[in-house]
Amino acid sequence: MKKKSGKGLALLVCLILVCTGIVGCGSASNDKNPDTQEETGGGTATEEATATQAPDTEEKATIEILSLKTEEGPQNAFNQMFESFRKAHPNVEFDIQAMSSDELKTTLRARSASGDMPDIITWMKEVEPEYLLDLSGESFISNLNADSVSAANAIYDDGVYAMPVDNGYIGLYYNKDVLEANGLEVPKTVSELKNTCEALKAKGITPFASSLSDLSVPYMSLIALFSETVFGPNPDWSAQMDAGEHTILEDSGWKTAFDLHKEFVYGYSDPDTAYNQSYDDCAALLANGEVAFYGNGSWALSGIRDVNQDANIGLMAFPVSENEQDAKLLCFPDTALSICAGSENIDAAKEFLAYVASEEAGKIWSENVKVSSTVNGVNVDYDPISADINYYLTNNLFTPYGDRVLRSVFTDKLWEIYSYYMLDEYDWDTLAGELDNAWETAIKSQ
Amino acid sequence: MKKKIKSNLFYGLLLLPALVLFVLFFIIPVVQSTWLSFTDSYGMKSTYNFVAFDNYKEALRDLSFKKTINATTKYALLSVIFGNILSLVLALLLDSKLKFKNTLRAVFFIPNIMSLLVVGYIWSFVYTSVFPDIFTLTGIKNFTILGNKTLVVPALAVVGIWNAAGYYMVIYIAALQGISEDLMEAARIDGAGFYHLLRYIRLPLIAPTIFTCLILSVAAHMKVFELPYTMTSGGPVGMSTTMVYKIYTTAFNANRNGYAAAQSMILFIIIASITLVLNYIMKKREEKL
Repeated sequence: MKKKSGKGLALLVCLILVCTGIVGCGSASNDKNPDTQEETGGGTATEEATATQAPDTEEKATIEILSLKTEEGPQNAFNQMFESFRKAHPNVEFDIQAMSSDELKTTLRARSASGDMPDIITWMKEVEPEYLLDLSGESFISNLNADSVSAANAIYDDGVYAMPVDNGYIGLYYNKDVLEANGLEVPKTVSELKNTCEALKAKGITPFASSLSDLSVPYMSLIALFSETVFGPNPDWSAQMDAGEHTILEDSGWKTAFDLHKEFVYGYSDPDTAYNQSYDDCAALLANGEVAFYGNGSWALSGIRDVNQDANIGLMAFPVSENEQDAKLLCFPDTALSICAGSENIDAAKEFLAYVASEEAGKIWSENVKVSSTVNGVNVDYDPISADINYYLTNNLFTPYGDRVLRSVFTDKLWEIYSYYMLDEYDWDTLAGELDNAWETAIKSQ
Repeated sequence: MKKKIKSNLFYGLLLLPALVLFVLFFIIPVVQSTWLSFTDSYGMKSTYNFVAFDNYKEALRDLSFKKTINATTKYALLSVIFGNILSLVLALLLDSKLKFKNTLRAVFFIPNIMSLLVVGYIWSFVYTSVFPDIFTLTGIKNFTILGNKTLVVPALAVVGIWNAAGYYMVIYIAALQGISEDLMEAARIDGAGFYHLLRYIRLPLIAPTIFTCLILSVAAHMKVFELPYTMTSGGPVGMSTTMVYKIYTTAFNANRNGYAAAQSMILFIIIASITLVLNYIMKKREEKL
């Protein structure tokens, strides 16, 4: 009898274990299915507008935000915006996590697979629109610069999935004091830049700050260069490439960008120490006047100012020819926010985005992050460098097409092998051939 | 007969929880990953198409993927050969009548209990800060070890060996201690010195352990990921991009799940082939004895 009941108990335990295992591996609740959410949360434009106008009906909500803005400036800006938003919405809490773009991509992939997307994310082109909420028709979108909204959503056939918060740029920072102390003018053409670098080198000053341990540093300069040499003269280049009208191998614009990158960004840096220097080190070198030039984006400014608030720096487009009018600054919508289609707090998330699109929030963002806001009417003199940027904008000397309009399969290959040319591992034919193959693969993949 | 079937069914049912776990966490992922390698699965897209062997063909054409096979093989060869020699030397030393041998065993084993990520960051600091300072102090012209195309893989291998040596050392010590003291004593009486004892008694008797350690270390070092991830990001010019690091970047940076799965299958085939060859050699040797 005892033996029989023992066997029965053993079988029961086994059964429970098996059931637990199988049930535990079942899919998550359908509540978070983006399709279902679109029905419950998508709503019509009118319904959405009504929801944004009725904050008093809100229940307690915690908005989870995953952000790729890890710098101190954006984090301060977010905290100030949360504080201000909560004055009118005391029931809304925020849970924000900042991480690198690679970490964010990985996190979002894992969470999308388990149907557990956060409420708001800083937009990334890798997140498919099926996971994002279409913000078309939301009243707060009209508070933003229409060109910025349209450029931020350029990769989509239709719909507004990304709400741009600021306009960024990638260009060449220069230290005015270093140039002045050595009797040098700000170079406007390639030959002037070369002469300036040679003069600095002769005096024992490293012209360019660059890192080879963090390849994102020289990569930014390459983006600025090809946006000027390829997309500056021909904004339709990508579409034409898709149609088979170009190859990178035969394109003089790409070749020029890579050659200038190799000659200046690598050639005039200090290769012996570049492997020991990080992104922060490069910002510090420029801020402290140890180098004259540093190619990077708007996000690098707060790092430079953190090291030396009074650094006498300017910003210019990379000279790419002997005609200074060919030098166009890469200006594009940078940080953008998206609401995830699976969010359980869509109304509260929309309320928050509506606040972010307000003048008050625009000012907070612009002042802290030191970038120009996309919110209409917000014109913060966030840094002396803004005068340099305005010069390019007002003279129509800018291009909005950088790597963000390129497919990620292609940009990943570009990122992987661009340094091979710079460091003489690949010749032009090999590099360009690989990039042409990557372009083809990208078309097939996406 | 009926009773036997009933009894087998009972024990079969008892095995069920373990089988369910095995199927859920091993069989299904392996099958799914193999299936993915024949598709164009991309990023967070929920739909994908069957592309037959396209991903495999692309991998064999891809110059940078071929480069990763080179880098991984170079790293694994250096780590396996020198790592096992070092572990064996340490084991021989610590199997003697050395003072503080227990303390030293613990000291040599400590790196193995540290996460390779932590180890990577520590050694990254050593290579990029400590060595340059030493070069400056000693008047040697500063150069970057991790930025040098020739030195980067050996530099990573040094870290891999440092991390794993203690582990294999423990296995070798256990094997050495398993050798009969009577046999050693008899050889000593016959006039065998340290070299002869090693050459004719110890090494032949621990040969199966050496093969086991070789197989284990080949599999471990071929799968290295943390060191290039933390120390070099695969650079310079992809010289330290190992296969697993490449698989990671293909899957999580380029978002090409299908292609990454094909690369994983190729890595699996390579490791399985090496293991089979080593096993074959070991079995042949055992048959001879």
